[in-house]
Amino acid sequence: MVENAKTPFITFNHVSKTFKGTSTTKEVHAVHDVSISVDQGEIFGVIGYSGAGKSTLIRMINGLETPTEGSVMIDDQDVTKLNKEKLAQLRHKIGMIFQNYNLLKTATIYQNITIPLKLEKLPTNEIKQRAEKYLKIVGLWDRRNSYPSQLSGGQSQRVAVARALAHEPQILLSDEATSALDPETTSSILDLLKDINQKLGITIFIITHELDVVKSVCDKVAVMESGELVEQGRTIDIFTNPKKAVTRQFLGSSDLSGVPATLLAETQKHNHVLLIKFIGNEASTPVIAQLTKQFHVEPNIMAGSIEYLKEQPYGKLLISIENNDSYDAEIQYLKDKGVIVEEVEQVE
Amino acid sequence: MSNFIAEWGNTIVNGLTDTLTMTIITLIITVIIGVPLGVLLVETNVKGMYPNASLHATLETIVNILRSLPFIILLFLILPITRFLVGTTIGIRGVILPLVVYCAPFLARLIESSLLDVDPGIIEAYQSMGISNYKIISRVLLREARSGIIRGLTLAAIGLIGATAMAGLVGAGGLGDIAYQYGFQRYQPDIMYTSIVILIILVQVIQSIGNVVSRRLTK
Repeated sequence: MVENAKTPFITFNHVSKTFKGTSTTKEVHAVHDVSISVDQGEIFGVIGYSGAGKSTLIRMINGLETPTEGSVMIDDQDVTKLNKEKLAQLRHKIGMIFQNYNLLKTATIYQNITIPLKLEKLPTNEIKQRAEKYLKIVGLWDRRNSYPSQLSGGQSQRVAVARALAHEPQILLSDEATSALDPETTSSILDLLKDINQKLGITIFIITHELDVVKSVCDKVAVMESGELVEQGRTIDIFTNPKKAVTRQFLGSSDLSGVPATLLAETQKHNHVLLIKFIGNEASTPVIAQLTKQFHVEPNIMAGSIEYLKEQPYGKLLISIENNDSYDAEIQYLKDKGVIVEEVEQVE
Repeated sequence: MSNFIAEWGNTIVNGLTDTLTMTIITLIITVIIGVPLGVLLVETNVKGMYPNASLHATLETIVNILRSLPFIILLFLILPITRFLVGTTIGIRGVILPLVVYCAPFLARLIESSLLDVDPGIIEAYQSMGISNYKIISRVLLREARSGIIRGLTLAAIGLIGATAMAGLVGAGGLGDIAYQYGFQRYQPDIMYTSIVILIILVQVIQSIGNVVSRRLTK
């Protein structure tokens, strides 16, 4: 028998988490009935506004939080049912990085890598080798004698990544790891994560409120709002064909590329306004030119952009076509060419 | 000048020795009690690693009661306990217990506040690595708080020197006792000022050492 489908590596089965209220606080349903499965070697992102329950969710993977209902499986181990010892063993296999890096201020970069390994009682030689190997991977070996206060945010996060990798984990959890960084540094950290994923085969689970993070590294994405999972799927599918309002809101105004509503309303008096999305190789096919030839219409380009979803080109084009009799045929023609077409709703 | 030294030199050296002996012995015992007590105050609290409301409330109450008593009152208040535990209530031996009871809760509070200054994210990071709470407290938390702990110890040591001055009341000697006995009661201002100046220098030296060490450890 050939098993084609990979068995999921991290699985949330109908997980809920309720924080009991006290005399001064209300009961909070941080996570409600969430089911997710992540395959080995995948980069999975959870996106949502703050307070959506993402932090609680990610902490259930390494048992920093325990679900009130449901189960979380890593491979075939139920995290919620592990004893102290087994949980500690599991945590050795799960690295975690944080928004605030959480490095020891009193220790050098080198010590920041070696102290946790010493506390785990690894042999001294092994500790030395790993510290060197992983500090070199993140490009900070020559800063090993510096203190965290002497490093920039991006460098600090690299140290945190090296610290996580030094445990040689199978899973890396990233808790808003780029949220405190500027865009340039963010992308360098994201490149590092991609690298780790590809070269070391580590499964990465990311929570973030930044769309760019999901766009550039995540194979799959789940959208969360108020503790509930709104939508999940391949990043490219979610981006090109969001089904839920919240998702659309998240991907947001970028769809209309900032075209003012008044201009849109004015244009729509005599034209159809279409949003055309191209994925992958179609992005390079000149469909608009072909449409012009075929139907002798003169589409006017109002806005356009090409983005890359994990290196895959994804183009968006906002065009207007003057009202004409062959409109339906034109739409069909575009659809046959394999692009996604939707008419922009009439703006009041 | 040489007359003064010949007449009072021994007295002052003995006083300084007594003060230092009381301070050092008490400080050592205070650290042994105060540091774990400070850790307990933090870790038994709601957000600590071992939340335990009743234990926390009990410790809070004890610390607060002891902290509200002036040393001079405490000294007499626990006389029976001192006699029972140490066998004497006078001399240096008789004063160590009240000094510890006075100073340990103070140090515990200082330790508590320096531990609370440590970013909880660091503790979470180490928990996420599967490291036991005990190791996190002893190797991570206390390490990260070390600069604050040194500042706390400095404060406690200086507070102790002040308290030892009152130890003269139970015949424990020390510089404070000399200033009081000879200076105040026998109207000998020169010996009083000398003792005071030595006390000031002592406090300055301890504070300066504390500052330097604390700064070195901050990073």
